[in-house]
Amino acid sequence: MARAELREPFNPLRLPQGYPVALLVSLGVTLLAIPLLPYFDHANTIMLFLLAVVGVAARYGRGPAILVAVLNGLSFNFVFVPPRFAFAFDTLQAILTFIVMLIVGLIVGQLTARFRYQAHIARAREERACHLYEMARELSGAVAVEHVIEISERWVETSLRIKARLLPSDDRDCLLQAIPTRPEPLSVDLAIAQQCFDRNAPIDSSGGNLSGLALWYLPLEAPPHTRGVLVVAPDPRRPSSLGQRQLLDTFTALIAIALERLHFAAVARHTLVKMEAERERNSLLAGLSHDLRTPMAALIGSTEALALELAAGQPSYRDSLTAIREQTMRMALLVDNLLDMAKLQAAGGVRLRKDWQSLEELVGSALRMLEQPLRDHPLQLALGLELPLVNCDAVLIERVLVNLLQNAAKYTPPGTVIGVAARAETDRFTVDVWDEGPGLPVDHQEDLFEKFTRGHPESAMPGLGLGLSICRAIIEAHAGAISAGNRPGGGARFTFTLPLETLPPLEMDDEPDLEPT
Amino acid sequence: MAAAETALTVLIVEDEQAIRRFVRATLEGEGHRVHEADTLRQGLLDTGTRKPDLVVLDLGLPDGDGVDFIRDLRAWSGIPILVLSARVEEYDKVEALDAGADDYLVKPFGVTELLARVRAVCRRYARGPSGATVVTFGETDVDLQRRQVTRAGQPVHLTAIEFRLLATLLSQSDKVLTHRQLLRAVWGPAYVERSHYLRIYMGHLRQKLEADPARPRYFLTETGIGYRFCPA
Repeated sequence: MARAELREPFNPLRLPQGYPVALLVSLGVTLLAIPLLPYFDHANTIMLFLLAVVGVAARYGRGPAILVAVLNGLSFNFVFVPPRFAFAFDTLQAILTFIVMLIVGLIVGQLTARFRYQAHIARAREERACHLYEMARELSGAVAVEHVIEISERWVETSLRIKARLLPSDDRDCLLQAIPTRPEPLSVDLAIAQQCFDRNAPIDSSGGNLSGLALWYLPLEAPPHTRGVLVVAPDPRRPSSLGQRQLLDTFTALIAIALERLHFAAVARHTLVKMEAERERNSLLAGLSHDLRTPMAALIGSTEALALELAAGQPSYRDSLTAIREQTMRMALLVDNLLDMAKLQAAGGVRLRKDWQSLEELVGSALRMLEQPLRDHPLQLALGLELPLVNCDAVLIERVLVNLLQNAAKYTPPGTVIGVAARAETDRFTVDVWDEGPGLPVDHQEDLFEKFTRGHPESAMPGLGLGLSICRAIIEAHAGAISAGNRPGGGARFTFTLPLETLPPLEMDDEPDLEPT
Repeated sequence: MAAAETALTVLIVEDEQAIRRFVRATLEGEGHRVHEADTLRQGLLDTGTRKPDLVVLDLGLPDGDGVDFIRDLRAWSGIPILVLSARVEEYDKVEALDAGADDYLVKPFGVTELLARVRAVCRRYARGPSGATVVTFGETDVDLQRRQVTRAGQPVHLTAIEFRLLATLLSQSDKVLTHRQLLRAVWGPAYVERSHYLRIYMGHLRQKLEADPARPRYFLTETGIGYRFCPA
């Protein structure tokens, strides 16, 4: 065959298989024809010989066909053409018989060969299409560059039976030598690969590398970008066919598209994050400009009023001073919240200073901090007598309690009860902070934990809507959960949980009772 | 403003001029003498030359670590130190207290808080080591010598450790004691990391001596830092 087979390698033992058969067929037909000779004339006998040639040609192709045509020509001449049992090529008839036999053999053999070859090509095409389809399917499911590398290298090796190595490019157009995914990876020259990538043109390196193999460096083009380089080591014993090259081109195109898709997926993700950050920044700016400007305007006004009052010798300056102090405190609180949020969002997450804490103690100190805002609210504490210690960051959990209680004080009318209830279950600790106020808007209770989200956005209540998102960040850092809801009897309830761990044992003996001396 | 019972010499080590001015005005209003230093180096020099009765030290100074300053000072002097810290230095102030600072104030703080702290610190030093054998707060009387505790006339039974904890807190009234300091004093140096001991025993003490243990009046929690006994 003129063109290299795609699927099966050259096999020297396979081809001559038809020749012995041709010999046998020729012998057989001669022996068969001898007893028939008295009953048939030569013209009919020769049909048998011709049939044998057609048969062998159809079955075994051109070579055996020629052999059987020559043998049949000779044996017919030898056995049947007078003088019998002697070669006689002196008559035109004998030569004609011989030539016809040869031509028939050649034509049929040629036809068979072409037919076979086309069947073979069709099979190979189907297989290639199948491989392409399979690879495309796998590539479309790949979610990481590593997957693309593994899939590509595997399919190039399976389909073309040549070794391959995929070098993807990073954001700065440098090729990366990823961890090899195949056993005995191809050792490639990164400099040549980079050159191929930069020029965006294939490079054929002959014997340039250690193993002495010729390597092809093929750029993975996904216009307008190049996404990497595919390096393959073609088998030097088998020159590559056109079909193989085409297949390789299709593979590179597919791989390039897969890498391009991953690239744009990453870009899209990045853009989403940026948009979210942008949204946050915008609402922060909007919130800040309102919540910082208002107290600042009040501060400036109050100090100027104070100056006037002092100049005029009026004794009423106390009001201005009180106003200045209140506005400053409000700003200080805001700045605290902003700082907390920034700290909680710091790269690498929150650093928890965990320690065994008594929840009763944390509630107690939170309540002490909020003595002023809570003075108009009766408190109802249900903390249980034997609450276990919780392993948590005291400062942060106190912050959660302060924020929740502060919200309760802020959004409920004076005189209504505010409560804290805590209970321990098998594996977690649950704390409720509830009130008897108007409750939460029904439709977006989860949104309350988003930054800069407030139950009633147009509310005149000062605040940035940071308090609850700070709570959520803290509780989630502790592997707990926080949720908001309304109580059946009216009012809001915020619930958070913390995982319960086993307290290390106490090792020290303590006398049960101290005897007075 | 009325002058304090005793006029003190106070050194303020703080780099922010606005804070220095406000602290100076407040303390001078109380009749104290005030010196200022804006770096740790200057502060350490002035502590030697001015011989202050109290150092007000900002923890966030540009030229060094305030905790090192305290350790340096404590190597040769026992003068009271009041630490000023910003919220971001939450854990520095624990270190400062462990190193020997007497008390702390978190910025922003007001005049009232500042004066209350200064008075408490000075009162403790003026009083010297408490010679009192009976301490009374609310309805509770504690006889330290006879190791007897009564509440509203009824005897209260405390375990040995509970009493040691109570006595340690009472001996330094108004002063914040860090977890490590309390663990060391009550349980011993090997126990300074086992803060759960302290939580449990503090809980017991409050159950026995506070009217509402969840909202203590005398044994106050300084979250993340330690405890403070407030007799008032």
